[in-house]
Amino acid sequence: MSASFHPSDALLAAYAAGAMDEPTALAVATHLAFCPRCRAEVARLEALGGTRLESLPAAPMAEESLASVLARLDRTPPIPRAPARGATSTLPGPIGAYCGGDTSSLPWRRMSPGIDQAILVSCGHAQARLIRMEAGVVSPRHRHAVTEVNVVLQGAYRNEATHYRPGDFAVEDANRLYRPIADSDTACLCLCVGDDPIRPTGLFNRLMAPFMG
Amino acid sequence: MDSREQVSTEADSQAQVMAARLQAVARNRDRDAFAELFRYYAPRIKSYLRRLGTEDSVAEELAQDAMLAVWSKATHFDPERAKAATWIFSIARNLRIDRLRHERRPEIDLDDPELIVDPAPPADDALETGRREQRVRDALTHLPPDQARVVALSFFEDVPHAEIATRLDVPLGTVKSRMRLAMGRIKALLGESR
Ligand SMILES: [Zn+2]
Ligand SMILES: [Zn+2]
Repeated sequence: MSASFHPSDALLAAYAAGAMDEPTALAVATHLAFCPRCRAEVARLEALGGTRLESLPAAPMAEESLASVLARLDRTPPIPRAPARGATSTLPGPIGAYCGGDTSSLPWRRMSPGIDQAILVSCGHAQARLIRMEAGVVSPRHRHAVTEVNVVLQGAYRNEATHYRPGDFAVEDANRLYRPIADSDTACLCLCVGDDPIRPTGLFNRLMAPFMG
Repeated sequence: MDSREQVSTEADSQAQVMAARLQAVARNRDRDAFAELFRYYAPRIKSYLRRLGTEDSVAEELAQDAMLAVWSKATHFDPERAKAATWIFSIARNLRIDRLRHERRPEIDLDDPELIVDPAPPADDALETGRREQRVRDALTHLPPDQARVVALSFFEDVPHAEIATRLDVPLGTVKSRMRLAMGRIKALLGESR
């Protein structure tokens, strides 16, 4: 089953162009592992990049450029293609590369009852983290100061009437209220990219905030 | 044959020549083939990097290193997946992310058996790849100039939309709508049914 929620064309273009921070690129790459449709779109956009590269005017290279590169060839051995991954990991390839294919070694932190998170990579303000919600857990009602992206890796969750399943690329707009519920039989594992900590808004959560994390 | 077909036939045969050179490097460590690739692509990679705001000496060094990566990774090139220019573009793009932004480039391995695939995958053989490249070329040359500039700036010059607006002296909303129009047009010209 492939995904129902996809990155926008602008996000796919920025990913193909390399004009995107690493955490967001990780979210897009993770979605690509689930989504043949967006893989085809990225291939088209990269072809656009190749075509533009060919059409650029040639910038003159330094005089000794080719000679010095030819002289370095013998010291530049071939890099063999990486063997295809074994069918043992349960995480998509792009995520596996950030945690050795195994999430148990990550520095998990409890956020609220039944919800844990572990940071995979941060750069500048942007941060990619894994969030694990135990089956049936209702997350504290919260809003984000900026747009966040969730990619479901395992299990599923629901926010109001919308259901998100593995591979879905869910964009959570800033300032709206969210209350995700992990409604599959198993825990829900998500990659979440954003740049602010969760801000609790409910009275109960405000009271609990000092005790979380 | 009209002039547009003429152009595309030339572009096709150039693409085949470049792919053959890359394969000669992959199979035989062919230095002459590599030198030909270098003469054509290194100055264009340098140009690409300069347009992204890279200083001349750094662009020179990175263009050389990108070509060394072409040499060492030539066996990774698969002519059925992309043309040579597209593969070399992705090498230059990733090298720039690694060396100038000090970030990793998250990518998927297309040989990963666990990638989710279409239940009925479209026949995406070399012929189909060639047609796609041709359609991309056509789509690009048929964009109205104002849309083409926005696409080029955002694609090749790592410029945020707000800055594109300043450079082109148009409102931010205009940049966004041109970008949207351009992407829509490219898609329409590609004749894609998504
Ligand atoms: Zn998709
Ligand atoms: Zn949230």
